[in-house]
Amino acid sequence: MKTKPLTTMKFSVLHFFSCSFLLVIILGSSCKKEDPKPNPPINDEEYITSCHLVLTDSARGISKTYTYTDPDGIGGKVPYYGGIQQSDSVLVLSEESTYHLNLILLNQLQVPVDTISKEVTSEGDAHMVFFNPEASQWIATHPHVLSLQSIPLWIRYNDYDNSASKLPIGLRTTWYTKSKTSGTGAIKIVLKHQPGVKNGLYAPGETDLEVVFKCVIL
Amino acid sequence: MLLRLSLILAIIIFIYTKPSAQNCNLSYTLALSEHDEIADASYAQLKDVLSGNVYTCDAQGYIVLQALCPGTYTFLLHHYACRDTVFMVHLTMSKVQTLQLSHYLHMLHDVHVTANRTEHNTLLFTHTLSASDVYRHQASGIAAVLAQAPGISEVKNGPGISKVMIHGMQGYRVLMLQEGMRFESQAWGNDHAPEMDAFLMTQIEVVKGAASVRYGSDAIGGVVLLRSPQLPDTGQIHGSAQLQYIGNGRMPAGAMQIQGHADAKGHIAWRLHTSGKYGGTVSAPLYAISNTGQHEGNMALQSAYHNTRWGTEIFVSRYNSALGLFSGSHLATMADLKAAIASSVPLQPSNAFSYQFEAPSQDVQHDFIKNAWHWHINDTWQLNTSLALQNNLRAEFDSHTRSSALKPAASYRLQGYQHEVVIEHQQWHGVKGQMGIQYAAQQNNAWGSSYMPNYIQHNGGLFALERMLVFKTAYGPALLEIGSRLDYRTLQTFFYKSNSLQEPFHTFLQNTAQIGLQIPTRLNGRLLCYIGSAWRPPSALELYANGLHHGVGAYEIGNSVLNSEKVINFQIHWTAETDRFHWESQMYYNGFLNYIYLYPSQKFALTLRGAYPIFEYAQTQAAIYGIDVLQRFKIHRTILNTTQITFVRGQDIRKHEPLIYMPADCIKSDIQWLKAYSHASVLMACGAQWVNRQWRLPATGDFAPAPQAYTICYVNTEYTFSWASKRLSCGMQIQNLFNKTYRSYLDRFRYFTDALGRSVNMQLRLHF
Repeated sequence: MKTKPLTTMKFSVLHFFSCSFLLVIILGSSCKKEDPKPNPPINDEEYITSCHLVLTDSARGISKTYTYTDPDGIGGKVPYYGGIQQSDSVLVLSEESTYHLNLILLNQLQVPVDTISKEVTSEGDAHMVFFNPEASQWIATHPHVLSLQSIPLWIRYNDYDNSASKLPIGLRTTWYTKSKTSGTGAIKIVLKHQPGVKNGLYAPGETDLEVVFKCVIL
Repeated sequence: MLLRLSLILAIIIFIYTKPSAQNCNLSYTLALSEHDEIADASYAQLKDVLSGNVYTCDAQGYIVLQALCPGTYTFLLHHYACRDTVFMVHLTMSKVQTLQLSHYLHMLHDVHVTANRTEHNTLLFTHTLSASDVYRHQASGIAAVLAQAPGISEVKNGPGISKVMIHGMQGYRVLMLQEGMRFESQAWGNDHAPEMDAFLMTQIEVVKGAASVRYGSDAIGGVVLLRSPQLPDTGQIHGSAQLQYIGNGRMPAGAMQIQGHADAKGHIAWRLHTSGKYGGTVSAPLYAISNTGQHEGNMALQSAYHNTRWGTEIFVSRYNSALGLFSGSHLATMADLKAAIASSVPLQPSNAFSYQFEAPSQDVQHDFIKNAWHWHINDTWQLNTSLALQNNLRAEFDSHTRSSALKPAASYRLQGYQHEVVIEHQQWHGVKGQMGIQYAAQQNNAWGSSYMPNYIQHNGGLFALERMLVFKTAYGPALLEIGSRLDYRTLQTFFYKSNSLQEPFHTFLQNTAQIGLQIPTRLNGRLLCYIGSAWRPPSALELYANGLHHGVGAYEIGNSVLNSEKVINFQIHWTAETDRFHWESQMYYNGFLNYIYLYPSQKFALTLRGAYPIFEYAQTQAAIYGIDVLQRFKIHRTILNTTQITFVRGQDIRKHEPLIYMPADCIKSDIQWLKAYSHASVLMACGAQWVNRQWRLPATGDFAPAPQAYTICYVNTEYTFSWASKRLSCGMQIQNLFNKTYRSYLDRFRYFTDALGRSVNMQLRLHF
């Protein structure tokens, strides 16, 4: 039987130990120490802190802005109605009239203020605005016109996405008021984020915005 | 599909291959002679590590094993006064070996000892998962393997994300040890799965009960001990390869190990391991659960040297995984959550299969390195020391953020350092045991929209655990074990509150103790009466969480005045074993002081997205108690029946109502037919699992009522044979045989989808 030379044996053992030691040291020192102190929190990029409803009376050309805002984001102060021009939560409309609604969404936590509604338009195939989603229906004879059930109001969508099926988005709409009888109610405005699943229906996706305004038709 | 066909073909080919004839009629006899210090050899037990079979010594000092097939066996020799010793035996013909019992078997020339494992070494009962359970379920992850044991449930957060629950306790209340070292990423909260390569960690033991004395904080419900297999002691390079295919998700998975051994005054052994899996969309019986692919790739390197006086080992591993979360489960607001729960099918139904997935998704990486040393000071004393480093990274991608594919919404990095020095001694003035010091440090960093604070944590512990013989019975020695421990922890957290940096500092000091009495009984039985205490300080998350928990639709607020959670565990454990019968039963009661839990405060955080319910952390007095039973009964020489029963009850004592998320009552039973031929063995089994509806529920706190009771069935076949002097085994299992539609109470996905439908799984394993 051939015996191994002693030096080879010694080398292999030594080799083994130096290897294992080195490995521990290298790996240990390569673990980069991170500063435990965090940076100030980064805000959610697509977060909406204020929602402005710019309602223009098409006959007289007068516009009014209604606002719901939460300037400090989630947590902290409770969101409130009213803004620079208006300070109530009731949309006042005249009967048998036509209004154009422009929905402006802002993120005031970003510097400079981020206009989310622009982004919603550019990602139109992943977003859609719904009005009273549980109590409204499409009118069969008029494409993309909604009839609200609790209040005598029709809403027509004026903007469409770039997808093959050209589905409505809902940031720009035209409102047609009917008679003033039973003309008091609430309008819930919901923006849904529906990437890859937008089909014109309310169910899919996640909610990006949900605000409720009272509404009176005089 | 192609893969499925080729697997079936491969199995058919192997079945028709005439295997070389082999005789499985060998015997192995170990003759034990006594030593001055160890008077009674007949208390010795020999355990076959792979099969889990235990053989006892007869009055003449012989342990006789019969009807063995040729091959390599790994045995563990146990005697209450000695150190557990692992050795390998190569059997080509019947063999008789003699041993003089000593504290250390490695001093003996007759048997080649391959390892001196730092034994888990408390009297607390450990349940060892059998090799076949491990092989059959490892492609589904560690939690799926562990759920095969009585008293253990699997808590799911979607396919690929599941955690272990022991006796109704999970997350922070279960300690996981990888190669004897703490697995830290549990600290990230309950909805993060353990990042562990189930193909590597095949030696799995579970300690059920409070074991803080040996393992430190968090060992409240129990401890899961995960190890890679024994390193080899044969000269030639050999290994194993396995291929698995999980039908539901069309997931191929594979693992390969190569190992070798060299003698150079001492023994050098090494192993290389790699594994991976690539799964696509999984399906419930009626629809696909979209965006649920999972991809994983792991590797590990292991090496050891030992001689008769000392030894060292090094272990390096990396785990990498990416997985998609069911898109219908990741919701922005409570209104969305309610709508999804109210619908009986997912709101975005799809039957499309894809191996790809998009946000919401997670990327996870876990690196681990360990170096351990042992030194036999003399016949009685041994010094062990080990050092481990780990680095855990996690990136969570959210479909909300603009550039979600590139930039994670939140990412975390958790680094850990651990050091342990333990002195073990054999019978010394009539006492055997161990003493040690442990130190661990942890640093967590979070980026993005995380609601978890950054922190640095240091933990030091000092313990002693000793056992002695108190009296002798007709069936063996009765042993008493007493242990105590002192822990000190500091926790420094960093977070922003109203744009100013907060740096609160906490310290925790706690002592724990345990006492256990083990009495041998009739039927080769052991009766253990145990009282132990355990604790865990509140985590940084529980103290200072403040923010939106994405995917749950809840706003979580920490409680900075939380105290340490403490538990006293009482248990009675009885095991018995005869030729035809195996019995394990455990009754336990855990009394909690300062039980930390999350409760719905009935308040709402108002935002322009809608209202989020606010959940706050609180403490109460609670009790968790129950019973586990495992029974194996040999109906015939080839037919074995196994039945498991798990009953758990949890009660909030202060509020007089049940605790939320306790496992429902479960009974599992199967019948297995195993026939060993001269050249091969065939196994066929079928079984069913019945899970009751969880009818013990608190009045508030859950989003949806508990799902109905259900029964699911499974079948399993395996064929093992020798082929060109290699051992090959192939198997097929069908899970959820009747494609039953059900939802499980402990699955967070139950709010949105049904549980997985039928899955036909195949496996092929070759030892070369």
